[in-house]
Amino acid sequence: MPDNYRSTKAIGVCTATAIDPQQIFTNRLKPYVAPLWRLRSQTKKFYTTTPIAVKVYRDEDFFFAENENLAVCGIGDTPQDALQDLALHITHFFEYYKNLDNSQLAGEALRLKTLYKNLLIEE
Amino acid sequence: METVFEIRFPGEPAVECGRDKFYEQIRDTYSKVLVPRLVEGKAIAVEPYQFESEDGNYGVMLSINKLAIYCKKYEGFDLFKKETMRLVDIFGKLYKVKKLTRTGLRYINIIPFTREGEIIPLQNYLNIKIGLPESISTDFANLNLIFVSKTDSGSITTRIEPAISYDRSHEVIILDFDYAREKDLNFSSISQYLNESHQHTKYLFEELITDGYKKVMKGEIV
Repeated sequence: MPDNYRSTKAIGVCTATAIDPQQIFTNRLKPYVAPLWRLRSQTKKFYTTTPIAVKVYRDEDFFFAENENLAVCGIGDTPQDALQDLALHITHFFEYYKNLDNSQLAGEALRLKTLYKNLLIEE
Repeated sequence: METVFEIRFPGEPAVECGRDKFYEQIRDTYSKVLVPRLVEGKAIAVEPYQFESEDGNYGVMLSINKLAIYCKKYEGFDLFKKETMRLVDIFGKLYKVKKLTRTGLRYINIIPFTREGEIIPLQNYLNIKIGLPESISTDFANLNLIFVSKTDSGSITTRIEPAISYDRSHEVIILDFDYAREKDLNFSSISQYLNESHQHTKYLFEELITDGYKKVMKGEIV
């Protein structure tokens, strides 16, 4: 602040100032699930027709990004690395199931093929 | 989402001296008593006592010039209003507060997000367009916004800021709305102020959130 001036403090959330949103968030123990709209393989970019739920968490020195429904989990030294690893898994299985006929699959694999079908659109 | 409704009134010593009377009426539901910590330079009378439900979901904050009701797991306005008005009625029967100096309804929304590269893809979540000269990129790696918008009878403060968890694994956008009225307020009209505040914040929230994120909120996600 320059000399001879003070902050007007005119802007601020005034209702129940004792409640600190940063505190609410940091006190939470369970990780949130966040949506993923765009992802990249090594050569292509995709957007998702339905957002993909991603749970990012840390276990010791590694970060994990997982989607249980699609049965994929990425790992990395940073959350961004884990997310990129997850994106590689998703794009891999998207291509993999696209090239398989239903008659070649059974059980869980059939469920996954249905989920992956039309999940991604190349940009 | 966390919600809080607060009324402020001219300092009333009866509230300060007789909080036990208020607590006696609500202790069955609000079994936890949290006392304020001393804050240097602040009068202890304006720091609220907190009465909280056993599960921590609902709470009341009471000081010489403020009464606030909060809910940590918001399950709709009707439920929140019902409990708020029940507490306001108890308060109104115990203390002679007729004039209010301020009412405020605050909604704190926590929106988990994933970065695209290093960028916060704000456009996926919020209908906000920031116009900048071409030489300045709007691919924001970080941002912090706060603005106050006037309405016919009050003002809404909107705060948008990112936060990161302690273990740095995940990030959220904190979307904090605060609708306030500060003129010509009577205790007897609190129900009306609460409705009006809710209407304004609901409208703003619905306009601000993208259709894509609304689908996520409805569970349309793989």
